[in-house]
This record gives sequence, C-alpha cells and structure tokens, in this order.
Amino acid sequence: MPGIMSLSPIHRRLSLPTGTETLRLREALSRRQAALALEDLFALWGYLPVETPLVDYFEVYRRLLPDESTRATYRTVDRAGEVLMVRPDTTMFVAKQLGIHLHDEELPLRVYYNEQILRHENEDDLSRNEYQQAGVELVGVQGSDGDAEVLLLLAEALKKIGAGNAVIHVGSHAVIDALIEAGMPPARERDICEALRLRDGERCLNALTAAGLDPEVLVPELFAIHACDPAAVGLRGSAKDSLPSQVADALEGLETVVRSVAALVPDVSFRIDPSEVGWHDYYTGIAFAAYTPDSDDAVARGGRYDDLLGLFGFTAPSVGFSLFARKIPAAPALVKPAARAVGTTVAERYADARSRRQKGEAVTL
Amino acid sequence: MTIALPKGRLFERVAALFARIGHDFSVGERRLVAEDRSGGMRAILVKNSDLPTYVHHGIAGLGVCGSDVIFESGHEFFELLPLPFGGTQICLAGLAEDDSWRNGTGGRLRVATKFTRFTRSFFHGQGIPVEIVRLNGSVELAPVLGLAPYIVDLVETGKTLEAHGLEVKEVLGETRVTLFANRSYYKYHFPEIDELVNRLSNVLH
Repeated sequence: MPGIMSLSPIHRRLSLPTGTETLRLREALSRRQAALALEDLFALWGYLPVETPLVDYFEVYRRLLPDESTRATYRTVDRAGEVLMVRPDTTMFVAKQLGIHLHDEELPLRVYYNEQILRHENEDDLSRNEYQQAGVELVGVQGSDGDAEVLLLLAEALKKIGAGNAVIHVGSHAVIDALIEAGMPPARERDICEALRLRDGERCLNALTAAGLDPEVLVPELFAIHACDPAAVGLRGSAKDSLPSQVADALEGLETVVRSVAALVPDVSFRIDPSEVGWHDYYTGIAFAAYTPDSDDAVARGGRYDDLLGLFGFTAPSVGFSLFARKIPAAPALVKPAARAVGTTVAERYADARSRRQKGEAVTL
Repeated sequence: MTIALPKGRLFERVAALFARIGHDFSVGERRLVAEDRSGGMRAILVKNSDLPTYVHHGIAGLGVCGSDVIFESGHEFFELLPLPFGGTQICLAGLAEDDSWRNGTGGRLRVATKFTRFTRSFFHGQGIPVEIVRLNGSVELAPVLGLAPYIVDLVETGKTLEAHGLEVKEVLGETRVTLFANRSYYKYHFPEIDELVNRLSNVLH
C-alpha cells in the first residue's frame, strides 16, 4: 500500500511527490523560451497577464470537478479547518477571480496565464505529464467571433512553440443541446457526452435508443470526423435531411465556424469532430483539442463556457484554451556558452563584462 | 503505424488476421519487433498485461488485447473493433462443496484474483463488500490452500477449475479481444486507422 506507507529517507531524498517535476539547465531553458514565446504572442494579441492563487477553498470547485479530477487534487486543511486545494487547473481558478472582480465596463477582457498546476499521478504512470498550463480566456465576446479569435490564437500558439504540425479537432456542446431539444432527456447528457468522448459507438447507440432518438442516423454523424480542406464541401449531404433539424442546425453552425477559421490559416489542419464535447460539464459551446503526431494525449484543450463565471458571481460569456507545452517536444535551446570577462581583478573583469553585456554578449565574472 | 501485439498464442491468431489484409508480421525467434513486409506497419510484441501501458504512453498507437486487460489497466482508449476470437468468460469460482456465496457470506466476500479492478467494480456495483487478495497466477490454489474461498478468473473450458475441485459459481462478464487505439494517436491518424479498421471488418464479415 504505497499510498499509506511512510517513505524511507532515501526514497524521500531521491524522488519527488507525484505530479511534480524538476527541470535543469538546457531543458529548463528551452521550456522557459517556449513560455516566453507564448507570453509574447498572447501580449501581441492584446491579452493581459493574470496570476491566480496557489491554493483555494476546495468546496468552491467541488461541483465543477469530475470524480477522476477530484481524486487527483492535492488537498490540505488550514488552521481554521477549511479544506484547501492546490491549483489543479488554471481555468477554474481564473474563472473565480474574474467572477468576483469583473465589471461590465471592463468587457471584453482578454487575459492569459502561464502557471504551474499540481495533480496527483500514480507513481508508475507519469503519462499525463501536465505540470504547467499556459492559456487564455476571452471574456465578454459571444458566439462565433470569440470562438474564431481563440481558435486562431491557438493555431498561432502551436506554431510558435514548434507544434505547427498539430491538428485541431473542434466539436460543440451545442450538438448535445440540440439532442435535448430533439427529445433526449437532459438526464442522458452526461452519458452521451461520455460515449462521444470515448467514441464508444455501442454505448452511444444504446443511449440514443433509450432517449427515443434514431441512432442509425445520428451515430454516424456524431462520430464522423471531417478534415477542413477546401475540396470537401457539403459534408453531410443527404444524411443531413434525415437528422433532427435541431441537430442538423447545430452541426451546420459548427461547420461554419470551423471552416471560416480554417480558411484564414490554411497551413493549420482543422477538423470538424462532433465527438469533441469537452472534458468538463461546464462547456456550453465549441469544444476543441489539439493533437500532435507524437504526443500521447492532447497538447491543448479548450472551449466555450458561458455559464462558468456566473457560478462565481458575474455572468459573462467566456471562451479559452489551455496548452500543455510540456507535451510538445521542446526545440533544443540555443545556448551560447557565456564568455569569461578579461581582467586580473574583480573591478577589471566587471568593467569588461559590463561593456560586453551592453552589446548583448553573455559574460561571467 | 505501430501496433502492440500480445506475445504467445493470441499473437498467432492476430498475425493471421492481419496477414489476410496484406500485413505480414513475420517474427524471427526471440524478436520482439516485427516490420510489416509492406512497410506500412510495425508490430511490437509485449506481455499481455503490459500492452495497454505501451499504447497509453503512445509508444504504439494501436494495440490488440483482451477487454479484461484493458479494464485492469485503468486507462481509457478508443475501442475500435472486437475480434472474433480469444473471447472468454470472467467468473466467480469456488470449491464445489462451498455454497455460502449463494446464501450470503455474512460479511465481506473474500476473493483471490489478478483482476482486482474488475472484481472491486463488479461487486461494489452490486452493493456487495469485497475483500481482495491479489495474485498474479495459479489463482485456483487460493481456495484449495485456504487463502480465499473464492476466485475471480477467466474460464475457458473449466477443466483447470475441475482439476482443483472448483466450479463456477457465477459468470460475471464476457471478455473479448479488441483492436484499440491511443485516443490522441487515433485523433491524429484517424483516416489511416479507419481505413485499417474497414479492411479488417471486411475480411471478418
């Protein structure tokens, strides 16, 4: 039972708590360069930095966390007996701060973050590897304009950190809402979302059948992934006529947004993928994820969550993404070894170093 | 495209299936990596229970193994195609003369198994408290030697159980051999993977 057994001194000295890591030298430098590149990009797009608390009250977020995420949180108790949670995800922490402090006149608001997160991982499964989250929130811009801005920014961010070969799959929670409008009981929402996330056709078929909808028509549409190349037009063709009108409209709306964005950045692959419904229950509109050929998991996730800030006191539409740069193999850092200053005394070496540093050269004393 | 395949008996059947669609994974003696002669695929041969780990970490984008092994791994994958061989039943078994299972154990059900995640999930799903003793093999010995009155294990013919004086008390589920994918790998490579799945489906049906 490693979870309750106290560690030996040697184990404590040689290992780190799961979910944490240490980076050194060139690896740390290349990560720092990627982080700075992202921050520069976000700033160029008019986003302002935001920093969130390292810990916050667990109860505030409990209802937003799926069971698996709750189990992965590190929690502690403060001196007043309140359960505190170490930041496991920045989006929620940002949402609370914005929900408390924002005012109408500040909208639209664009913020970015680049913070460490902490999630427990099994000691023998370090695959998630998500220690650092960089991302943006665009608050106060409704609908497709906001969606397009964030998707375009994600495309540029991926290119900026060497993941220009990523593909971005975009779905929409509006499709789930459309299923409910078409007659699916709201209680089936979570089941359908889970079936779509796992691309479990049998489960989806059973859930739709139980909901009184026609799975023969819906399942192929919900599971189809379409590349956004200009040649592919009229994707749904004849099948569209058989779909419940609400679902057909939602899929068409999704396609319109993705196509309009893809047309602006033809060197980035966008795909229409209704099985992307987001990994949190709070998604209300588009949901997307970016994948690279070599990563074992999505390198970025995001979407629209128009009701999230409202949970914390200020209702405003919001859309954003988080990027897990650690999942993208870092480009080797370009490090030129620092030169040694010339001189026999500290004063001489300092004078030499100061003059050379003014020209941009790295010099040690 | 890299696929993780299980070493042993199942490999022969999976390799025969892939050969029917033109992917020949001939492996020399003791080789653990096989390049498809057409150059389109590479197979890595790994221990059955390790297979999901390789796919989860993206070392192999695809894998073939039993649904029981996938479930025990605790990882989530896209299950693409059930294969028509290697499926079996997962059962609760105990000594033939022991019927206390049907009458209630009056406390926790003590079970020896290597399928710990499945066993806990199944019995807790039924509202039955269960105490699990983890074993990695020869679980039939547990009731015989008094380690635990019951086992949860895969049962094909039942002959091994019979040889130890055990019998199936209840069939808890069916397992099936499945072609599955790392989720991220599938999303990136879905056209090629869907095409592979279609070709396999065509020769199976």
